[in-house]
Amino acid sequence: MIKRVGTILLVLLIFSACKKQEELEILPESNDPVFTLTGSIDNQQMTYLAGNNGMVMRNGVEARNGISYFYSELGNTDRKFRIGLYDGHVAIPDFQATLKSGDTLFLAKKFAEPLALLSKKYLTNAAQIERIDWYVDNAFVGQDEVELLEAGKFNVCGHFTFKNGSQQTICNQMLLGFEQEVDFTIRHFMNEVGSVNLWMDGNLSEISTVEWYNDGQLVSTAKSLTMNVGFSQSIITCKIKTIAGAERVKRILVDGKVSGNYIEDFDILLRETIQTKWDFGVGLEIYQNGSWYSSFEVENYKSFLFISKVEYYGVNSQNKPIYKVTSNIDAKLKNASSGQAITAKLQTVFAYILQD
Amino acid sequence: MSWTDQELDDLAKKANGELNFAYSPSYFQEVEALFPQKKASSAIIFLGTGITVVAVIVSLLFIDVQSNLFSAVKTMDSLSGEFLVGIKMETKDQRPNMEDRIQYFMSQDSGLGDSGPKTENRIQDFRIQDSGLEIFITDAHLNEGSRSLESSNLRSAEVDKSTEVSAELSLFSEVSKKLENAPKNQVPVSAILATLVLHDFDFTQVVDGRFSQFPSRKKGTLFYYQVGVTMGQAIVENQGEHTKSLDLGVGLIYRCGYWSLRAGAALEYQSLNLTLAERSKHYGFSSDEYSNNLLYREFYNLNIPLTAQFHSGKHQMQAGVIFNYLLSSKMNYSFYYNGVMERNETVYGQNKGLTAFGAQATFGYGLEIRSNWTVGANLKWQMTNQVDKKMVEGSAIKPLSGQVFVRKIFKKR
Repeated sequence: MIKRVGTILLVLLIFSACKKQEELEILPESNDPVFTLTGSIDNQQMTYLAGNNGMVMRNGVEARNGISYFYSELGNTDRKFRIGLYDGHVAIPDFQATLKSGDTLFLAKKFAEPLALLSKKYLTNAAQIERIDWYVDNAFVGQDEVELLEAGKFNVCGHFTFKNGSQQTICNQMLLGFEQEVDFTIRHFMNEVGSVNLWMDGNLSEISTVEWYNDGQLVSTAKSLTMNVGFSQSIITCKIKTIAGAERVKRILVDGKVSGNYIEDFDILLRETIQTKWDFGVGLEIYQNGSWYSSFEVENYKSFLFISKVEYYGVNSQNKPIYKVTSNIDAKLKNASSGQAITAKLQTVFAYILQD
Repeated sequence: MSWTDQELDDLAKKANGELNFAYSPSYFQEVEALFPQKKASSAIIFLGTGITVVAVIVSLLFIDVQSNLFSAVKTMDSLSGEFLVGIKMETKDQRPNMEDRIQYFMSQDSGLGDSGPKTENRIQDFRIQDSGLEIFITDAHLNEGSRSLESSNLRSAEVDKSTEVSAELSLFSEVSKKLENAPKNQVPVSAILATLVLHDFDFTQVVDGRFSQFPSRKKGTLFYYQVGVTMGQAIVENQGEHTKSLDLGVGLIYRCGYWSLRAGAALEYQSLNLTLAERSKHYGFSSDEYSNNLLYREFYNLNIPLTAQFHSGKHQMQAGVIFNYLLSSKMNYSFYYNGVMERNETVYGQNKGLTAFGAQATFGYGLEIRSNWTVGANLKWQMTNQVDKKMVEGSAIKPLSGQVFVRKIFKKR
């Protein structure tokens, strides 16, 4: 009897041990929210946590008036907080901005005064000019007198109609509200036999290379140029590189007929401003109750963004390094249409993706 | 000079005729005071109450509400002269001095002190002096309806089946007469003793010619196999379904007098609905939620019971510990990623979220329903945590369960 019972038990034991054993999924460790925003907006406490309540941290870079604007946006469909950082040293290609612990960044504000006045009255040959049609980034913006108020890098084209009926168009890149890096103006003098002298007026100590082109043909690499253009109009292009790597390209129109139908360097149309340039300027935008509030719309000269910690977080899908930036913000924001201003006192951890 | 049976009988009759002692509970209180007092803690009282309830319920299923004592007397009345042949008394060799105790009762309580030698002779005549007779009385009173003494704390008398019962015939014949003749409030102690023996008397076994439902109450090792059915509380409070299980076990019983120790092994199949969940939320630019949902449906356990049992006649109380080991399981497994089910399948052999090793305290009652067969009930309390509390939605408890079992005891051939 005992043998029989023992056999049954043994069979049951073997049977139970031989059942197929499937592997279960190994779950990753839970962690705390990484990207956060806490504090008060208009004295109302709020907490945004990426991963809760549909909140997502999005990162990107967008061109705002031709300038790279690196942003991190934390929010859902109802509420959004966006912190952005303008590129700096924009005249230097591939300049890599880095954030460090202890940095204090200022908040960019819209410029109150024109950054450039596109007006023939500031041109020395205004008497020869019948009309100027101004185009900014291929869009017609006005005739004769146009104020440029926004910061950015613009392709400004002037379609000149001279008194004698001739027409010429010339385009130049204008950098407004940011450091020019290469600050000079091309001057020229045309003698009666079609010989023209061109030179750069400004601080030339940082210039590394200069290239002069006449209607697309390289004609010189000297800092000044003397050439004969005959009795015709020619577009002279000057390409300059500084020791720091900044590049500028300027175009002017010279008139070999010496009839005054030339077009000067557009930089003479720039206006000096006392406002801080937007290089590495910070922008804050908050979307709540169906409206956007922006730090660009309000004076924030007492406001700041203090970076208390920068930590490496990982890489994104393009294998670009991501940094986790902890910061404190004390700023005002304003709704552009209603004029309603709000105050934000925030602590935030946002993602900053280092761009190439 | 030796006494003949007839002389002894005459002397006894004479003595009994003179017997006229007043029954007093104080005698028994004095005797009771001789026994060690036990003070039960509140926990023991609580558990004892639970066990008693279970034991009573189970006992009612098997036991006639009429007391053995009553039926014994009744049967005795219906039998003719030789009805006491084969009275069931089991020997206990280590207690040869029990006749002294009988003498004590007879001399101290019955007032038969002056007839002590005769009593001793009578005991010798009964030939129980070599085997011993153990009777403990802590309280007894006369049941007028059944014309017998009843006691709330009786232990069985034990006489080897080799005891010559012919001698006892006269004792019980005499006792029955004494019961009939004695005043209702005055009962001879010899009648007490005889009635107490009668209390354990199993007439069925007499008729069958068997003397013991247990192979032996001497020291020795026996084997058993057992089948049990258990129903218990759900392991997690808000998961209302009870657990149900069936177990099959074998083992050894070491018997020593009234006590025995049992050790064995049992395979248990347990049916249940136990839901455990393991969740993970990983934050980054947003968050990803992962979830393992485990719905355990079956457990396969190996149980190792270690219990001590106390036997009193057909009844036995047992207490001990059962060690459990989870051999295998069956569950419905589903894996969710951000709320979307990615896997759903039946999985065997997992113990995730479970504690493989465990221990249960067990208390129970058993009744020997026939030779070598015992039925009973156990109350079991899981002493160790069975589940990982982090995976429980609700409160994990240490469940109570009740088991009904049938056990067969046998000797190894």
